[in-house]
Amino acid sequence: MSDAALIDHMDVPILVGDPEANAVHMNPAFERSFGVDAGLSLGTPLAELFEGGGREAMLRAVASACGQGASVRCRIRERGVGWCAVISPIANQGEQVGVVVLLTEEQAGADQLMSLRRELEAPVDEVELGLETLLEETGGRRNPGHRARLEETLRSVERLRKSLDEMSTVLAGRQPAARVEPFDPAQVVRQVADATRERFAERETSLQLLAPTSLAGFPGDGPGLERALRALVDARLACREVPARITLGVRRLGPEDAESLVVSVSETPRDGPFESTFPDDPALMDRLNALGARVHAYVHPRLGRTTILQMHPAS
Amino acid sequence: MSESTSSTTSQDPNEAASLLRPEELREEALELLSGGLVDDAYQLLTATQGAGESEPETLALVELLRTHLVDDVLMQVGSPSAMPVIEMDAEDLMKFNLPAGAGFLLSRIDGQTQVDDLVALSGMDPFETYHTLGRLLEAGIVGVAE
Repeated sequence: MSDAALIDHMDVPILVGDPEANAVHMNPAFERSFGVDAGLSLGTPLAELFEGGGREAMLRAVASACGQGASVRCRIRERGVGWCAVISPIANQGEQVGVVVLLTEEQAGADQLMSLRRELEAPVDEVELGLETLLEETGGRRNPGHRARLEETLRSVERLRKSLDEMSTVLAGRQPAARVEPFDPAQVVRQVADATRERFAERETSLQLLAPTSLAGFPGDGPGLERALRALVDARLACREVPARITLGVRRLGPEDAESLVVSVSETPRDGPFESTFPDDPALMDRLNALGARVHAYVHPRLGRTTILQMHPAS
Repeated sequence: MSESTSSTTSQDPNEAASLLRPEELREEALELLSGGLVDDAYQLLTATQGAGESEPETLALVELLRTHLVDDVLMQVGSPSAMPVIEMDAEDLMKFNLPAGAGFLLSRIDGQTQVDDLVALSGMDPFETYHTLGRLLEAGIVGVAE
């Protein structure tokens, strides 16, 4: 088993970079966890695979690991998920030939924080109730100073409660959140067609595009849709018996105030009835579901198979 | 074009479709399909906007029919680089009750423009362009340059 194959079977996200710290390999766990497609991202500087502060931290850590010739650790937060990254240089006969990044999710810490947050909730409720009782029974009427101090303390309790709520939101948002920006769905489909054209030629399958030049901006995760659609097309092209033609379609459906987006991947059978009804990879289905897409496949023995993704505007 | 399109029922497709549940609509469409009436099946499913297409199974069947209708046009013309030509003179064309889209597409057909260029340049939805071209071919209004 080659090193790459071994890495590919590991459940933790792993990235391998060349001496210039450009990505040369990423395992499926990395692709899944960070929503990145290896086919589109290899050759990219490692740090650019991360966003915001994570990118800065990774840039520094990779430079430091390469400079020192020793492993470096850093913590990053990507789409609400905390990760601990270990960056190690790869040396061969004293020469640095690359860098490997291993990421572990800070699951334990998050769970502990969630538990602490729950434990704090009850005492905060009790303190607030106690202070309100004191204010009502003793504070107001007899001693204005006493009342002011109680009210100030109650406001502090309120701030504490808000912080706990925010902590809860952050911890609940540990699943990667979809990016919601208007994107041109026609361009997404055209980009997938362009990116896979060579593969179509290799498999002697024709590619038909039923997409206008452009469509009005649709609120949703455009890059996510592109990655998922690309994976869907790749899966179709990887079949032992490829269809004669694959048609990529995109259109808007429904009245303006209740529009949805329909993206389809339709396979026209070669001679004879269409029989290939392999189930789609569950990881791919998870990726499509994460986009909020309703996925449905339909097979007709003579016409072939179509897989539709119907998306509603993300809010 | 109205002279040439096949139909299995004299009832208004909108009215007929609105009376059927989605699964009945699909059954009816599949029956038309088994008789080779792909366009009629497509018309039936899309006649009532929102009624059938809002249901995933029907929507998927509609997508498959759209694909097949385009495949069929490409098969008729031979390839996307084929050049359609108008086979009739203006007087004969007047006998057809051509919808606006068909009239517009005819205005772009000059015997020197390839099918894929027509689709790209017409400004119409690609499926609608293929679909209209298919109907013009079926009606004998348009042919393919040798």
